[in-house]
Amino acid sequence: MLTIITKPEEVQNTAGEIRAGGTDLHDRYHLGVSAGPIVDIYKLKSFNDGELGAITQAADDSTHIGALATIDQVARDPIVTQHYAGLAKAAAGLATPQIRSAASMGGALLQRTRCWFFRHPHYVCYKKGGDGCFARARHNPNGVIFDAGGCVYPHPSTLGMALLAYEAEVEVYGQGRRPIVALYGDGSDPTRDHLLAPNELLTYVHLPPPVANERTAYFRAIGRFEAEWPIVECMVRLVVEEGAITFARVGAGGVAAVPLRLANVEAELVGQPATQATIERASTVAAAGANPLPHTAPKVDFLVGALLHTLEQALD
Amino acid sequence: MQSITLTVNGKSYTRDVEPRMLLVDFIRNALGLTGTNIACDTSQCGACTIHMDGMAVKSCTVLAVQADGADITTIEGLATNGHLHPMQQAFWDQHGLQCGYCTPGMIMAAAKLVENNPGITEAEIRHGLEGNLCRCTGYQNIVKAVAQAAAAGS
Repeated sequence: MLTIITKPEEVQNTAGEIRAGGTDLHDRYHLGVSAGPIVDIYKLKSFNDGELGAITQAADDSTHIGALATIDQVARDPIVTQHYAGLAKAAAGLATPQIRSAASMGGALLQRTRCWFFRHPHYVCYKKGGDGCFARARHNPNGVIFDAGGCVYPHPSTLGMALLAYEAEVEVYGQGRRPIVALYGDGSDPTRDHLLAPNELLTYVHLPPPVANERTAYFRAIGRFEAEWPIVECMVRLVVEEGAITFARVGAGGVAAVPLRLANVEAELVGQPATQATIERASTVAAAGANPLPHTAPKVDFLVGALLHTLEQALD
Repeated sequence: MQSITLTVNGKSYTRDVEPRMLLVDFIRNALGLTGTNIACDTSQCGACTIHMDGMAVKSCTVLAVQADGADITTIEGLATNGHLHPMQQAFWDQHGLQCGYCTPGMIMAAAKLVENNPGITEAEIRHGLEGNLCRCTGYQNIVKAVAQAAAAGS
């Protein structure tokens, strides 16, 4: 059964899996992994004068991205490209042009894991009501390097990682805002890809006012030239004043069950001279606490290298 | 069933559809426009690419009900007055196909790509066609065709 809702409040009384752009849900339906009712929210795009499908800047220079804005909108929007360039670059780098035209901001944050076993109808893992992770014991070079003990497949959301580095907030209908980190938690619950309940509707992403003179860089290490999930991805925001780093925000994806913000790396950067020695030292800190799986050990060096490359781009 | 009205290739259609019907199935089965192909059915290959309200989208990820009120162009609607669209002509001239299965989606994606970036470079063409797969691996001539169409002011 498919129910098309026209007002956000209807989602609270309508049972089913929420469909926005449909690029993830349709895939899971086709594969036989999802089969229940659907609550289609595409008509909410025009709700509230189209705010849920728009990107707008407020009087205090903060920016609001409607959850039904497409990835392509995020990648091209003049507000985003000018003030949140790292987010725009991350959006432009993911998936393929047609997917970016259809997939939504909210869906990009709330998509399900890309694990082969999760997306196989015959494997009932933690995320499908089972009590184990089939990927853990198999050859799985795409897995996490920060192992929380449950699901070993990394979280797929590039934009979730980028928004962590931007200290964004997300708004849930009827509940107000919460920091984006609260959308994901610490990854210790292997049954979840995010912490929203089935009838909770993500409505907006709120970006704080832009930081003056910030330098941003995003790097996506992928296994082919285009159109691939990242092996590792990094987002860096830096402010350099009189030769010293005064502000740093660092995100990393592809390495843990949730997108990560690397506060330990940020602490190594702030107050230090903006030099190659500083960023080389700081990037090695990214590996602190890594407990890779047998097949993912090379990704530890990958993360350190990718982060160094991203930091070099930001300082360049 | 739900009633939808949409414009496809300049012609208005009103039909009752199952809410779960995919746009690609609607285009092929309800309207009989079989130029739009279904291949992967999982949003990866781009064979079903059409234009919907000015955007190139994969019609296997759009529900027919979502297209209510939309203006859609399929491969059958590209040519005008019996003349091939410059992108179609370029695929013909450069032999930008082998088996031809990816071709409708490839042409629709490429037409929008060039429309959005008239001075497109070869690197940008390769980047812009990342959402379309050719299992014959005939990419060289496809890229040549798109470059020809761009030069012709497609």
